Amino acid sequence: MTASRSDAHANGGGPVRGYGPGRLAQPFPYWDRRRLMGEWTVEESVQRIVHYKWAEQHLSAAIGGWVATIPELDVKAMLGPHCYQHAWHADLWRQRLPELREKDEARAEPPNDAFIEFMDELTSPEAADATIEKLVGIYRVLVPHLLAVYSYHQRVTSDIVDAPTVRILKFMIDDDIEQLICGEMMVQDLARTAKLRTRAGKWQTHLDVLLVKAGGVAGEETLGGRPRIGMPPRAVLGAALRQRRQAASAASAGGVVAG
Amino acid sequence: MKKLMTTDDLARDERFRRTPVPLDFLMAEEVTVEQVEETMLMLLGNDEMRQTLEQQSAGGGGPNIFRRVRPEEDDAPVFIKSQMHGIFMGEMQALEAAGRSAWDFTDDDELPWKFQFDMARQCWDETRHVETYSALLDHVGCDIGEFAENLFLFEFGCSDDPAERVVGVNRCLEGLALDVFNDTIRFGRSADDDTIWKSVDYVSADEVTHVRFGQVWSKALTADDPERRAKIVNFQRKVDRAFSLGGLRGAYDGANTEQFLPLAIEFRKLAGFTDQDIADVAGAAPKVKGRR
Ligand SMILES: [Fe+2]
Ligand SMILES: [Fe+2]
Repeated sequence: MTASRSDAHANGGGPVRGYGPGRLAQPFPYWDRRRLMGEWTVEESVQRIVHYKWAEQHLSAAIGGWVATIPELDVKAMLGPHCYQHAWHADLWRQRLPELREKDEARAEPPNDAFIEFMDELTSPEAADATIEKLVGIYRVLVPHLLAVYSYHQRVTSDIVDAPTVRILKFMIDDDIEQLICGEMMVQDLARTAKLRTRAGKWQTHLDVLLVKAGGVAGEETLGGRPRIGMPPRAVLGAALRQRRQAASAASAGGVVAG
Repeated sequence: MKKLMTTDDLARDERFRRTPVPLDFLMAEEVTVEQVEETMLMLLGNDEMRQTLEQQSAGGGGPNIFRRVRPEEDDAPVFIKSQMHGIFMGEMQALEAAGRSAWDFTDDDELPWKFQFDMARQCWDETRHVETYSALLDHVGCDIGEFAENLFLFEFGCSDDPAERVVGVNRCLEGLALDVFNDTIRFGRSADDDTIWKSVDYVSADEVTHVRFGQVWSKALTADDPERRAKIVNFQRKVDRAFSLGGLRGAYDGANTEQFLPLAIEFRKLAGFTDQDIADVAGAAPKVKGRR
């Protein structure tokens, strides 16, 4: 292989060894595989965050509102912490906004009318016997959606320049996984009859269809894009490989380092 | 671990060389164009850069350090390398200065805990900037240590008064950083280089927060103490003067697209600069005698 710039200099990922001032490292350990480039600009990040924040605020409010409408004490008690957790997520987003040059940290906006319609429907059950619909809306529809979207966001944004977002997403995802588990256990325990399971399934599909009409918590572009797994350069074979090897041996015979 | 470290104590590996801090020049009321050129060469230059500037001088009209370099020009690679290396070093010193500000005042009972908290946050942010600029140095083909390090950033961040610390580092120095990043973002955009402008865009957003820390803390720490306030304002004038780089920065006008490093007025306002603050920075430069 030709001696490339990165082989010839410690700065470009050459071997890093030793202890003290002789260790010529980059400010990354050599096992670091984070990426500099992410999916969104600063402005695009802000735009997504104000949508997330709107959903978190509304979800938290609805969970709080439902506590008093639910007769099952174990369900009632489960909702309290989750009401807080979604408010806390909204607050983490509030704090992140000015760090991304957004002047108005109070900004919270639905992505489109269809998402408002979805949230209106999700938060519509009120009757004391509608516990199953309330739980399905939270734990089988919106929380799994947020988990998917937050995980996607965490994987495609830059883990270097947007690290504070990656970090707060970690807390939110952690909460949401726990909520998903608690909520699903509760649904399975409450809905022990065919009739209740059917109700649960029907309501879930109904809400899911509304959600897909909105595109998702951040609208049309909630998920998606082209795949871009980090890959080494294309294979060099045949004549190209021959030429490269000839050039390399000519360079080393001349004592010249390419680059 | 002792408190209040000086620039001499900063730990570095073998790649780093230092140039002296030109304090007399930075503080002068009046400088000549020749002095500005000489100092800038010393601060930013390596052999490649010096050769480039000498060639420009030989072609008549003097070196072009007073004007903005465009991406398609022959000199663009060496200028962007020099600029990015300078910022890389600045970010490293900003990281060290933030860390020291978290440590140096733990015995100061008057100082609210939130100050230490903000400095700890800045310590994390500056680390990302060091990482980002190290990656960008690779991107433009520059090695760590290819240019000398100048310590004038840390020099102004060594004060034993936390209010002076945040004025020196957060207000003046990071205000200058906002201007530089604004410039780099434009450079990257006009070069169609997403890696440069999109990553510096995030760094610049972080910097707005830090400049805001500076504005908030310098006011909070001197609110009930007119004497200390006067001392801080005086210090601020000195540092604004020093960071005008001997008047090199020319017209301080955000709309200016020709001259070197205009003020990023919009970003500075977002960070809490008033019109008066901006006028103070713009008026801080010394008189520059000679051709421009
Ligand atoms: Fe920085
Ligand atoms: Fe900073």
